[in-house]
Amino acid sequence: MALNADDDDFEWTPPSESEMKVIHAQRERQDKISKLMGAYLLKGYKMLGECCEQCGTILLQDKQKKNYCVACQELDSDVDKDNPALNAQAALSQVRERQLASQPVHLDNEAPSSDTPLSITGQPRPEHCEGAASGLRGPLPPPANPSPALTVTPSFLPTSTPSIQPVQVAAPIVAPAPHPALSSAEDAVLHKLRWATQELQHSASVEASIQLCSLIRSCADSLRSLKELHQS
Amino acid sequence: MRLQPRCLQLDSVLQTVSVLEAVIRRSFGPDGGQVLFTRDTGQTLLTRHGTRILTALRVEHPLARMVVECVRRHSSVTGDGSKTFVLLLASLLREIQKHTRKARQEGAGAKRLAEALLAFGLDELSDVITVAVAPHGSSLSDPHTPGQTDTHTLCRLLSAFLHTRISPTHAEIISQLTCELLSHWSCHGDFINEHFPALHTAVSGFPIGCSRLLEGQVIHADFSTPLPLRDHGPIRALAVTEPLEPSLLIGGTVLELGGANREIESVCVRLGRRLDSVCVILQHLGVSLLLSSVRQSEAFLAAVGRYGVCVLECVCEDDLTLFSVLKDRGRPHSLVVCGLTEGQTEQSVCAVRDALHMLHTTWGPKHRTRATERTARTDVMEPCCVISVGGTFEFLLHHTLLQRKHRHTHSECGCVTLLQRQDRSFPSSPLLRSIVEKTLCPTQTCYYSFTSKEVSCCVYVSIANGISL
Repeated sequence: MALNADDDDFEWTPPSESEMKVIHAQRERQDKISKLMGAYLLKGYKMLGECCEQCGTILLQDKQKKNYCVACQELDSDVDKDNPALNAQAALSQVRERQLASQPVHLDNEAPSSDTPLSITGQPRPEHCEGAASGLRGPLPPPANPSPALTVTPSFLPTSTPSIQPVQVAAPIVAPAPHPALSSAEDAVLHKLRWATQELQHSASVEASIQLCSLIRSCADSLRSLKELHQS
Repeated sequence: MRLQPRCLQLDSVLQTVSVLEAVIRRSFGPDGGQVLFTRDTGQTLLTRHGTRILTALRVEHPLARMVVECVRRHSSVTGDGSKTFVLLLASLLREIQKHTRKARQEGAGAKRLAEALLAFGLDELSDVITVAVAPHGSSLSDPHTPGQTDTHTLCRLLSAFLHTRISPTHAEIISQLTCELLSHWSCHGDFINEHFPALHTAVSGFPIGCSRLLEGQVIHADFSTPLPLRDHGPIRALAVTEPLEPSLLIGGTVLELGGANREIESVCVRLGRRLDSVCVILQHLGVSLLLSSVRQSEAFLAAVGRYGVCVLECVCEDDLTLFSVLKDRGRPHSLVVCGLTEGQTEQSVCAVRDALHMLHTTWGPKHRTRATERTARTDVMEPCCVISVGGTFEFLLHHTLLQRKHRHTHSECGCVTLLQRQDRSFPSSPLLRSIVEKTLCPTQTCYYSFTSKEVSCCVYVSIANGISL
């Protein structure tokens, strides 16, 4: 070990604000990884002496001798679940949140059947998605265009992208005139589409590429639906 | 092929320790949870003990195994503090990483800082504890009768310790029994600690409320012959560690006959006479109970049975050792620990054993600090000094270090600068104090988050306000 005096070693200066943010983000990520790994150890997984080649996290091994990297296979995909860029469901919930935030909220909680389009049309309800669920639980906006909008028949997409359907059901809530929510939704989807395309070009992992392709497909379908609404 | 050593990165070290910290963190504190381990054979292990949890994990990572081994050794010496050890280790590593993050050679800087912290811990920190923290503790020694133990303080200490190991309802019962056991043995903790395997009996299948103290020593044996009914007088017992029957008649040996008389019957008769003579000697000594650490032959059992001698076979060595030393100790008492399941019983037994070990460490003379070795030092930490559990020690130490940091910020500036000029590679004392003080914070957070216990909250508030306890 070098015993040279290193003046910088112990003259510690507090980090700047940006450095603090980076440090906090890194520490949070490491804490999450440690917590997950601790939980897996208590479930009977084995902590190996090897590290993941991609992220450097210590590998775990389950009882079936299968290696498992918490960061790559769980943490990042968990983050992806909430990341609108990689998950259409998260994107839709973000859109819905923005729509609700931009409309006046009413306190009367009467529940006319026309104000619950989801239950009438029988579409798969996105309650499992937090944003949409909170939107459903909250007081409903005034029915701007109830009856004609409800007659719009949603086109059923292939089962591989079931998350798209709520978009078409959520759309009737919005007024047909060029609404700021529609245009902001379009902007958001376009932005994510561009981002996903860029990421796809640089992506080296098969898993990530598949996810990005599905995201791009979802974004394209969302844009198509939004344009249809815009025109109608 | 020669293995090339790889330099460990501080990040990977911290991650390894953080994982172990995450494992034991849930069991830490007065309201910490228990971990249930199950084997494929159906055996269960229920524990809150940090060492047991860590050693039961499946860990192949060499650094993690080293940390677990350190925790185990620490616990074997002190009897307690294994979870705190891991928490403080993780916190210390984080502080070291924070301070060496910008260094050009992070690894070398971290190593030097760690060595400096070790030297600080051995020299200055022990003085801080002696001068500022220990006066707030209580003494286990009875103030009225020096050399004797204060039973009230002892019971409080045991109760607090056992609450950290077993559930609160069970802890009350077990701590009461342990206090009673210690009081019967005149609080000779060392003796009880040494002979605890022989002084307790674990019984599964009964509720823990059935645990009790029995007068006398419970002999644990695998085999026994019936004790003939006799008048209630003293029973003489003999402890043996070898088979009493001549080995010729034991199966598996080859008997080679020689001499003029080669008949097997005459050999057996001669051996039988020797067996009878052993029984006569036993009868002459008045022995009616034979404690044997090995199995005796069937012929021997039959022979001594005719003379009314009861034999206990495969008695464990600890029981025999205790039996031999008890003659000078008066009437002994044994602890019977009950539990509904084997896991629960084992948990209670381990908790009591660790409590006795902890007391043994507390009573020992090795707690005298280095201050006694220096000249002109009169403030020596009194042995048997205890501080109530729940984070009191951490709060006191944290507060003291904070006070010293603020007090010496201006006065020591000159000295610090001088020291830095002389030896720039050595971190300054204020820095080390600051690191140690911040290291204690996560432990405090763990305790403070359990503020359902009002004591911890009051202590923290009192210290924060600078009010001495």
